[in-house]
Amino acid sequence: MQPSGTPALEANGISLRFGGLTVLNDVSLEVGQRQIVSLIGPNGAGKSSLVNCITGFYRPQRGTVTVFGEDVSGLPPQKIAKHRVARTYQNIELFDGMSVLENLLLGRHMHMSSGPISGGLWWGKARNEELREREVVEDLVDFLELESIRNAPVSLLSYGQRKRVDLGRALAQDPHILILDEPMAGMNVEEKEDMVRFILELQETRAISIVLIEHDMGVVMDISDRVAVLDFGQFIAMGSPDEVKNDPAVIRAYVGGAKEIAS
Amino acid sequence: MTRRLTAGALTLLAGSLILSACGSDGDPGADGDKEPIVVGIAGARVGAIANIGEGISEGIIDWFEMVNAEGGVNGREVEIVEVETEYEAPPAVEAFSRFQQDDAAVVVTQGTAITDALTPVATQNKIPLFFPGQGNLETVDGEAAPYVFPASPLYAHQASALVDYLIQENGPDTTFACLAWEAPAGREFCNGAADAAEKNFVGEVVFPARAADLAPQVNRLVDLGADVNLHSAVFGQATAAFKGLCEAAPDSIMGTWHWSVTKDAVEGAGKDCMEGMYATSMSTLTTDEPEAFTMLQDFWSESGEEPNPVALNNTVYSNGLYFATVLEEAIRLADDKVGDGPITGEDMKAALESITDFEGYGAACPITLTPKDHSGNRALNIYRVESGEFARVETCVVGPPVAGEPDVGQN
Amino acid sequence: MPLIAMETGRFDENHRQQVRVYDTPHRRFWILTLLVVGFVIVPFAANQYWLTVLGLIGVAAVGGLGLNVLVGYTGQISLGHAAFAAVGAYSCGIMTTRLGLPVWLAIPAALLCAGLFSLIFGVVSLRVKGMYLAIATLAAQYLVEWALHAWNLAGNDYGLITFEPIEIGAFNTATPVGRYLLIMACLALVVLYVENLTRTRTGRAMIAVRDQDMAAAGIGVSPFKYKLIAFFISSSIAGLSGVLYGFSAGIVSAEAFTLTLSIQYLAIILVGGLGTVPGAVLGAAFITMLPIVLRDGLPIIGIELAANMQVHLLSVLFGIAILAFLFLESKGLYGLFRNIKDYFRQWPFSY
Repeated sequence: MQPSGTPALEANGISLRFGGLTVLNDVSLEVGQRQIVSLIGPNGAGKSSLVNCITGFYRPQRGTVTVFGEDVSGLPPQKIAKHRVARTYQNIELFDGMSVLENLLLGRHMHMSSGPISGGLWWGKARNEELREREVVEDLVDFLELESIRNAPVSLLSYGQRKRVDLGRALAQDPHILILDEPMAGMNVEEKEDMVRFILELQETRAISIVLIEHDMGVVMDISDRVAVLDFGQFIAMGSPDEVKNDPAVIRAYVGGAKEIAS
Repeated sequence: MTRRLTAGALTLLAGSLILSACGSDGDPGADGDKEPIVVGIAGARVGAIANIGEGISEGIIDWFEMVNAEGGVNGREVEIVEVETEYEAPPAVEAFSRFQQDDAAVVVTQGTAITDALTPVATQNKIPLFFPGQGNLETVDGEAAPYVFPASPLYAHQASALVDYLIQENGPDTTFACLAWEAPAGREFCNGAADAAEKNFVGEVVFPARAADLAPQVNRLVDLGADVNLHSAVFGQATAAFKGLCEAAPDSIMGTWHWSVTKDAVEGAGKDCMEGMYATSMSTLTTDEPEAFTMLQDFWSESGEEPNPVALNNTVYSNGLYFATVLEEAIRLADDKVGDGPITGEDMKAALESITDFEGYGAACPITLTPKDHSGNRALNIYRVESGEFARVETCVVGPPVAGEPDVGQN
Repeated sequence: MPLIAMETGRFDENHRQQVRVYDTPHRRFWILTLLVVGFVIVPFAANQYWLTVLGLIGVAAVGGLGLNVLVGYTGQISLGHAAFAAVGAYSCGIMTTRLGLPVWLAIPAALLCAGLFSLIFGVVSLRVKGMYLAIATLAAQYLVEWALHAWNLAGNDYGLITFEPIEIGAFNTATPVGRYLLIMACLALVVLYVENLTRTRTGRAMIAVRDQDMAAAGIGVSPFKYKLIAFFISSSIAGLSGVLYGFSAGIVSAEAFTLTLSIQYLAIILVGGLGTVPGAVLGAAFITMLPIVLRDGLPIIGIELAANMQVHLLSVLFGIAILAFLFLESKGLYGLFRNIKDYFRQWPFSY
């Protein structure tokens, strides 16, 4: 896929330190519109930290983040989310006190407007909103094949199901930029294939730009437009899957993993 | 396991609800002659005024046990129903409702705050509240608060009598300072002292209800340099106040209100510290063997019952006898009027208001209540600690009139 | 009876059916029964003692529902709930007796005062959580207690504010029935409000803040904003319980709003079932009835206890109840109730 116009997401010169430990060192990343950019690297390389900086959970000591040309540096996560940025979490982080449907409806929070008064009164604005948004979320339920568990408490679901709900919640936000933090971790082959299918469908039908953190090299190389390799807080390679696969620095970093990259 | 637990819990819950529903219906009287009269006590045996609550409740219960054993009042049994309130308002409201359920003709309340909390419901339901030794000055006016009976000197009167006595003993230039418990009752005592001492009152310091350490307040009080340091603390705070004053101002004279005339205070602060401490009391302490107490002691030895240890250990018990004997007189007057029928709250109100020159078998100074004057008695005994015991040094003293007291035409 | 408890296949055909709070015929039947019993039968059949007790339960339930919004739904902690009830009660009392405002104005204004006052302490939640937030709310409790004693809010020396009865036609809160109806009507409104809240955007956002405040931020929910909203709502409802107490007793004083009451509110929602509406009501009933059962029920089975022993036993039982519910049934009395209901639902097919 070719990028068009303003990059969807730009991180420039991000440096993050915790105490004496440098987690990210002058890191820059660009994601073009409707692209899938994968972030790979060994554990502890700083992938999640970079994502946390982009989404406002961490505040880097230096650097800027721009979304569709607008500077969002230093904004708290809830404000960045309003710029149509959504993410999933390595630890899933679903709202365990609620059902699948309620978790998805929470993804629609920014598109709804009822408050403590209209919500308490129910009839009128809040009720109309609830009925309307349940229709909207129904599409997601179909898309992610969650029909049979829509009213189940998420705490009772299997790991794979919870991952799908996490994705659903992010999609419910109707984002332009979607950040997926290890969406396929812990899944079997079938579940991974489903997830890949979902992601590709998203890119095609919803014009979403995607940042993907993933360890499965096969998937990464198959679906990414660009791959960025992070090690010790710095990018050691960035380019198309083929370029990155054969980059000696990358091979060195993945000692013993050369076979996986070459697949 | 959960199933059995839940089934068991449900049964227990249902059973207890049924039991309590049965239990709250009043029991009919013992013999069929006259309907018993029910006296409710909103108890305070636990909480901020625990020793007061115990003393008063036990005194009332013991007295009427004796009266009932000897045939009751004019042959009418007196039934005492006590419900604990822990000196908190919401349990008091529920307790009052329970007393109403039991057709109580009068409710004894303990604690000024509880009395205040129950005044509206008592007035609405025409059941008099009875609370000697406590209450706000305003309750003196029987027309403003028709169902509220302090039936005793109020705190301001206590302070007034004590100040007056100490000025007579120590000279017209004696200066006074007061350490006030922040509750309205404590404030009223110190306000009364200020009124009575006039220009000789050098100041007061207020302390919070739950403070464990009164050192800062005691020090501020002592800095005022008064000859006499008064306080309106109760229970553990009273002991702390005494100790603090002894340390900081060993040469000053200490004085307090009737709730701190306790053995706990003497033991807690030490005999040497407490030597020469003055206190008021509306009742005659049991150690002075008023007739009311000897009657009880005779009853105990005749019936083979053990004397109630509370009578000997808790000086507030004598106040309980004051409550009980005045109540008995009112019941007698109500019964004389009503004859064989039941006695209602209105009957008790009228009866209380017709008590004339009653001395409670020596437990009280003479008391005369009228529809206008619900205090009926401004006189206090003055006690002094001597060698660890309370010695009465003056009997039935009336202090100068108290500012802010409603005019009820008392002499 | 089991037939009523059994709920066979529920097939909702559209979203409208899905969003109904009382969505099965069985649930609707029970709610209707409860309403008829509560508003029609009880006022006529019950004696004044039970009307008073049920009224006290109602007041406690309103307070518990309020605290539940903050603690159960939003996961914050408050040890000062009684302070906000006091602000509500005193505001209403001062407005009616000293400022001469009509009751229909004073009550909402009092709720507003309580809610706004709590925001001062809710702001602390921006910076601190858990234990530290608990201490901050404790400060509210002590502050209000001090102010009630030290300031002459009531206009008299005794710190008492009388609540004049409300009279609307035949309805008069000076009567036990009038008081009971006022309290139950308010309880019903609060129950409805809170239930509605949890099935709409605001309630869900609060629960999200409780469960994962980071992921909540990720979907655009500002944790701080919703904690403040929760504080405001919770304390306004507490203010309402203070106002209702004022009308039921006819008078308020500082002794009605102690730290003990704050702790009791926590006990109500813990024992009843944290984060559930029926839980608050069940907990309120439990806490109010336990002393009565002890006092009246024990003598029937032959146990006579002195008054202070009863109080001590009560404290011990409360402690045991809280521990029991924490360890054995974390969903409290309501969880117990649902277990029983589920048992009957499957009966006799529980295999």
